[in-house]
Amino acid sequence: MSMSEYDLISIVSHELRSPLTAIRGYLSMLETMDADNLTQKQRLFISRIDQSSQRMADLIEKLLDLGSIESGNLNLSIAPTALENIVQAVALELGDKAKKADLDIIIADKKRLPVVLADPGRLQQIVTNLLDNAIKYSPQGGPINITFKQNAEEVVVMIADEGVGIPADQFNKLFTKFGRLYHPSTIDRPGSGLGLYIVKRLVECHGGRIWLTSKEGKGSKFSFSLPIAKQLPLLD
Amino acid sequence: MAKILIVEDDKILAEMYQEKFNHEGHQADVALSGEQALSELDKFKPELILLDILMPKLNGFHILKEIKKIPEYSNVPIVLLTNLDQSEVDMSEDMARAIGVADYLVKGQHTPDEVVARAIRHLKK
Repeated sequence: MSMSEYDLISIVSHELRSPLTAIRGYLSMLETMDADNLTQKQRLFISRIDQSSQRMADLIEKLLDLGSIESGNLNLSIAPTALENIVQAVALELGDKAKKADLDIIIADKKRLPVVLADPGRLQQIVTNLLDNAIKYSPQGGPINITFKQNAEEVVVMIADEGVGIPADQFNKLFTKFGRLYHPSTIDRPGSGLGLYIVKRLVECHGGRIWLTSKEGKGSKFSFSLPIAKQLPLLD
Repeated sequence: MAKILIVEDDKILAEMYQEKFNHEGHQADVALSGEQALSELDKFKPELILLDILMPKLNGFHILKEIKKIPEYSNVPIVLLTNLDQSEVDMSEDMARAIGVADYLVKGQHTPDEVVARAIRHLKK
C-alpha cells in the first residue's frame, strides 16, 4: 500500500472513534441510569451491542497502529523497562479471562531480569496480544507458561500454551496482515488477523525478533526478544 | 450543584455528557465550537470547562489560551477531553499542568460516568 492509503486508514479510523464513543457511552448510560426499567432481553441486547462495539474499537486501534507503522510515523517512547513487571501486570489483567476458560497462567519464578529498552505501553500491547491469543486458542483449558531466557545482548520472553497448535504451513501466514489461524474449535473466536502482524512490527521496531514453534494439536510457543539496556543497574 | 460548560463540536457526544452531568445534579451547557464557548462564558459563568481539542477553526489549545487571558475565567478548572490518545499528543500530567489544564481524558477510554466523576474532582471547593 502507498503512504496516502495508510494516511486514509488513519483519517477514517480517527473519524470512527467519535461515533463509537457515543455508542458505547449511551449504552453505558442505559445500563446505569435506567437499569431498573430494563427487561432481561433488553439487557442481553445491550450486552451484545457493547461486545460488538468493543470489537469495532479494537479494530480501529489496530488500523491506527497499522497506519502509523506502515507510514513510518510510529512514535516510541523508549525507556529502561522492567520486563517482569509488565508481564505480571498483563497476566493479572487477563487472569479472570484465563480462569473462565479453565486456563492457568504460570509465570516462571526467576532471578531478576535485566532491564530492557522498550516503550512500556507498546511492550504491554505485545505481551497482551500474545497472551490473549494463547487463551483464545486453548479451548480445552490447561496451563499457559511464561518463561524467560537471556544472553549478553537480549532477553527472550516465551509464551507457551497447550492449545490447538498451528500447522507448519501456516506459520508464515500468521505474521502477515489479515493472516489468521482457522481451526474448527475456535472458528467462533473473533479477530481481525492484524494482531500478530502488528506485534511482529512492534518487536522489530524495538530491535527485537519474534518467532514461533508449534505442533498441531499440541500447542504453540511464541517467543520474542528485546535488547538489554546496557550499563544500567538492575531495578529494585 | 455546579455549572459545567462542555465545549465539543460533536453534538451527540456533547449532549451525552450534558445528560450525564445534569443527571448527577449539575447544570451543564454545551458550546459546539470554540467561538461559541468564548461568547458563552459571560452568559453562563461556568465553574468547570470540558474542552475538546480537535475542533474546526479554533482548536482546543487555542481556546484554552484565550480563556486563560480572561481574568474572571483564568482560574476555572479546564479538563481536556479528546479522542487523541497520549501517544498522539504526548501529554503527560506535568505537561497538562504546565499549560494550565486540570486534567486530560481520552473520551473513548472512559464511560460518561467516569468522565463526570473525574471532571468534578477538579471543581474548586
